[in-house]
Amino acid sequence: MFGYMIKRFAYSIFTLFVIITITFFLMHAIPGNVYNSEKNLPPAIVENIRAKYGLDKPLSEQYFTMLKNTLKLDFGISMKNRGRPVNDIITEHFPHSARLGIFSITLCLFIGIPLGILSALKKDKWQDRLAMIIATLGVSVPGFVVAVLTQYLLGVKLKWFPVIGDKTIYHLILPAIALSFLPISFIARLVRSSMVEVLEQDYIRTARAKGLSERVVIYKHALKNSIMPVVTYLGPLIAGVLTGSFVIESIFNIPGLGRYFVTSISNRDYTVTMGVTIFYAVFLVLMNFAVDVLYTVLDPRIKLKN
Amino acid sequence: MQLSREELFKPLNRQRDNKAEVATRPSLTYWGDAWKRLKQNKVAMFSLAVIVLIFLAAIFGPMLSPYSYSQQIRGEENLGPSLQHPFGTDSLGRDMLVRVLYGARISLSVGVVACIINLTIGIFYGGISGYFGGRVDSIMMRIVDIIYSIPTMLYVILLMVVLKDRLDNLLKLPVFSGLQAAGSGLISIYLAIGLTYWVSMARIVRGQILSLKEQEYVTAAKTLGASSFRILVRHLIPNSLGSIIVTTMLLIPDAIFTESFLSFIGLGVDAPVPSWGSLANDALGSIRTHFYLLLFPSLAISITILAFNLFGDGLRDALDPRMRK
Repeated sequence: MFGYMIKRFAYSIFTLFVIITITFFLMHAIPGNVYNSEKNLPPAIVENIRAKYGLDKPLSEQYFTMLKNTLKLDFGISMKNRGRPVNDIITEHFPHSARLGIFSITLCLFIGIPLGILSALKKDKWQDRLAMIIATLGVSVPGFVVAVLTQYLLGVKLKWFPVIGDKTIYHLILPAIALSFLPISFIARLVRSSMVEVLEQDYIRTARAKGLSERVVIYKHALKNSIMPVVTYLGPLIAGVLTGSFVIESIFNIPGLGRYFVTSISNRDYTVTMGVTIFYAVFLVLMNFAVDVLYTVLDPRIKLKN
Repeated sequence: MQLSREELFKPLNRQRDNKAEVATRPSLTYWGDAWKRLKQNKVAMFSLAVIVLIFLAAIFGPMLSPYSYSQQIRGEENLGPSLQHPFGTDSLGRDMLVRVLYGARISLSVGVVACIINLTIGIFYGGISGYFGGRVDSIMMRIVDIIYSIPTMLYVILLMVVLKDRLDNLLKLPVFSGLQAAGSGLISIYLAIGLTYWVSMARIVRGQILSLKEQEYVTAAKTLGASSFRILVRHLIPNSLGSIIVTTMLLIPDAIFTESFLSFIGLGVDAPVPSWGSLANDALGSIRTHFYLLLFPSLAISITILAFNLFGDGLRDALDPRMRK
């Protein structure tokens, strides 16, 4: 168990190293210098600026400097927002994204799983059909469409929810719905199919034969095994909520890191784009590692060979 | 009482009953059988019809329309849906129907081109990895594992940023003048999606090849002296075609989804070329007054992705009944 964890962790670190290297060389493949857009700068000033960001040094030296700085969790200085460290930007904006993300993931689990269970228990009845129709729609409608439609209909027209910002939990409801619509559908389908499978297993028949009540059979015996696939889906779920937030935060005007990331792309603020990409990559790879460990702890059937 | 053999068994009257010996149903090939199963699936057939319709509308719609996608009609700005402009016009007086139809060309082409790139890379990568096995396989699969754990969307975005800048310069060269019409944005979407989504295809092909290569007909082909390449291309890949097709069908909506996402955050096609995502993005500013501008592109994206998803599900059930849930 411990050996597996160390191996898995080393693997994550190696993945991160590859990610950082790819990011670095991709960003440096962008031709010209970053101040191309500001045409009036005299060459001497451009040289100065390049020297300030270390862009005048050989590529290999820049690479190792960056690697060292990344190890120290230092992502450099914004190129557009003069002198502002990328770390500052991350610590200021990421909490907004994290709050929205945690709320959305909670929503996903607390709606998706019960929906899947209901479907499985009422298999082929109207409840199941309805839930599966909603789930099929859910995987087909992009998050930004859900966001804009609900913002317009429930926010602007009916005035049930606030339309922009993230001051209170109440403000987070619409963006969280938009972010979790697709994962809810996915989780519901996942739980339904695994629950249907589990309910046919021998140990469920044994539990029923012992005379246990239906409630105990389902919630104590069947549920545990049927939500295991959801644990494996947690990794992609976190990644999906994170990337989904790029547009959702823009639509709902939430000052999160996703919105800042998108702005940095259109502003050609390359250090911010690179820093945030690496930050997100580190975050997601570590999350995946945590989910993997959680999975092996929860499911003793998994053999820890490999 | 004893029964004689003649009493127990009645001889078959060959003259009269010879039909009993003939197979009543014509023998079906794998594909014929799959098609038969697919035809019985009403939802899948309806989705197929919708997909064909969308393709036809994308190809012929812009030709039949009296307007072009970039034509600005003075004095007809911001009109709601009417007979003349069924989807209304935008703030520059452009007909929305033709823009949505043209957007369908862009979005569908992204789906198709990205899939061709995925297929080519995925099949050869997965095929080689699965067929040669051993050390080659484990090295190739380690690489896939690493790419797989890289958050895709982040890398599509990063690739887009880089490719767009590079292509802007490349397209100025006279050699690529033919590609200029497509624009650097569209070409970088093709490449960015094509280069990142092949991983799942490679995994599936590898899995198929790994199990297929143990079959007797591969041993037979080897005994007859067929080359590895021939075995791979003539025996193994055709036999894994079923799952390759299903994966492809489910990748198309993913690619369309990604394209609209990228265009929505302003990384996609270059104006004035419309794509569904950029149309939806353009509509954001005037959503309170001109809701229809958002409604039609959103519906177009959702219906297309839904149709591809449902058809893909049906195809999976038809091609491989064991995978049915």
